[in-house]
Amino acid sequence: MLLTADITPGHWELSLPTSRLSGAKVEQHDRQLIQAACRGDAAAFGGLVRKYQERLCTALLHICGSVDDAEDVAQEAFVQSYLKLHTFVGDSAFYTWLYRIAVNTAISRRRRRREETSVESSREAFGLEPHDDAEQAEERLLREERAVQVQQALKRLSDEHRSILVLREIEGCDYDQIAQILNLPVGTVRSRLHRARLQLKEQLDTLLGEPSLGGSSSRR
Amino acid sequence: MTREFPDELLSAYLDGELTAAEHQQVEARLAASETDRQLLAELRSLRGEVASLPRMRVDGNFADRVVRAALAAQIADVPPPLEVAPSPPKRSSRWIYAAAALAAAASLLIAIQPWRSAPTSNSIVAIATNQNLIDALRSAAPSEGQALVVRLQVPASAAGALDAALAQVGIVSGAATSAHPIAEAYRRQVEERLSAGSAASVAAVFVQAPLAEIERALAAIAEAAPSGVSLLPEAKLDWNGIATASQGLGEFGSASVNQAAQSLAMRLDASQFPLGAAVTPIAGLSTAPATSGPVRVIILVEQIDAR
Repeated sequence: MLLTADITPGHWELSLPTSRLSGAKVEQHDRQLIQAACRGDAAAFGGLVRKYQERLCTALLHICGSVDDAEDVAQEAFVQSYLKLHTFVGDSAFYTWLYRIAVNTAISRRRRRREETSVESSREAFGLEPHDDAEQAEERLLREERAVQVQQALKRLSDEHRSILVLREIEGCDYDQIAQILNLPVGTVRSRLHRARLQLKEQLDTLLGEPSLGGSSSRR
Repeated sequence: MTREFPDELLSAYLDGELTAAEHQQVEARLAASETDRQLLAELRSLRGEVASLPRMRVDGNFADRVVRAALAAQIADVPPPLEVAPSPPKRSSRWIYAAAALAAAASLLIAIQPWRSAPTSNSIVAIATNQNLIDALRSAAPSEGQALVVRLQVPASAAGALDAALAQVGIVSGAATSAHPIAEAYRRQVEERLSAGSAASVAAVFVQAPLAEIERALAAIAEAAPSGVSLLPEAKLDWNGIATASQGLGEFGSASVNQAAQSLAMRLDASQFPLGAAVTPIAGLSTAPATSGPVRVIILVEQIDAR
């Protein structure tokens, strides 16, 4: 037996917060997902998460220093973005906006907690090795060891230096984007990034017990 | 570092972030200074090493966890558990309208669902608003091989109105019990639960319809229902497992149960609505929500004491 009823369209319309997305810096696909999520489409928000989860987690791994913290912060950042999604106006790319939330969350979290180094967990987290199939096993091992050393050196930096390095070297943000995310003048971005690179070099030298690169190091 | 040539220009040169004048200045400096050329080479090498650090592996369930956490956070932001505002007069007609909406455009089938006294690890937190109901349902949307269980709590005082509404759409009392194996198995389990539990009575409505229609219908019920009605997504069930478990069960025996509950349970009888293809076992379980086809939702109708 099929049950039928006369349903008036629109009777079931619910009041949902509308998106304020109007800026031109959001790519079309993101715009569609954001607007759908603001209408209550949780699957659309899930699409945004899947699109940016790896990128965000990778960046946060180097900011937070551990896999668990990176995932926790990423989740917290995504949740915050969901709760505030209707306030996102599109004056930056969605990821830039999300990343800002994540960096602030990560830095706040680290300031509340004592840093724990976790070399092994970092190794386990890396599952997409960008290596050449023809690479010799020994060369790959050396490269992986070097990567661990670079990551260790990153962990020894201050939060500000580490964040700006990750933004520039891993995220590929330009100075204007970095300035927007970190809420800094571009001039400060330039000087801070340079100091971060010098600090990273110094930490690597310390880890290795010798200059990490060819020639004498110049300290300024 | 000197004011004449701040070496931060080298980093900016590396990043292509210089003005034309600054670029010329750095080029001239590099041509004249072996030290600066070496530093630039070191910075370039270091930049490459950081940029080529391996990417982090994210497990396949991360996005699902995030969405659930986001919806839970949203729920936490809203007022206390759903208490639908008293509706204006013509309450019974709203119930009829809402109940009819629930069944509209769907094959309405009846089954008795094993009672769950407490939320499980698959449970969803109670919802508070219509928007959260939709979000919660979508987040909890069952995939192929699953059925979503939601609990509709109705004060005893409103039970009569609910019965009337259900009767209006063909669910009547007094029907003979069917020998359909799944329905009988469910009813037997409910009887056993009721004999030990405290629920005044419980019944179940099984709906298989597109999720959007179920969402609208449940939202309408929540919106139009009398005061004190709550609607909570509760759990997901392995439908395949349920169908398998019911096979081979013989005739049910009598049990010491709440008479009113038994009466209500028998009034909702699968024999009136052939289960047919709706209970076709689905091979395997998919974690991806079924967004286009019909989904299975079991609505537990629980009569509660007046608060």
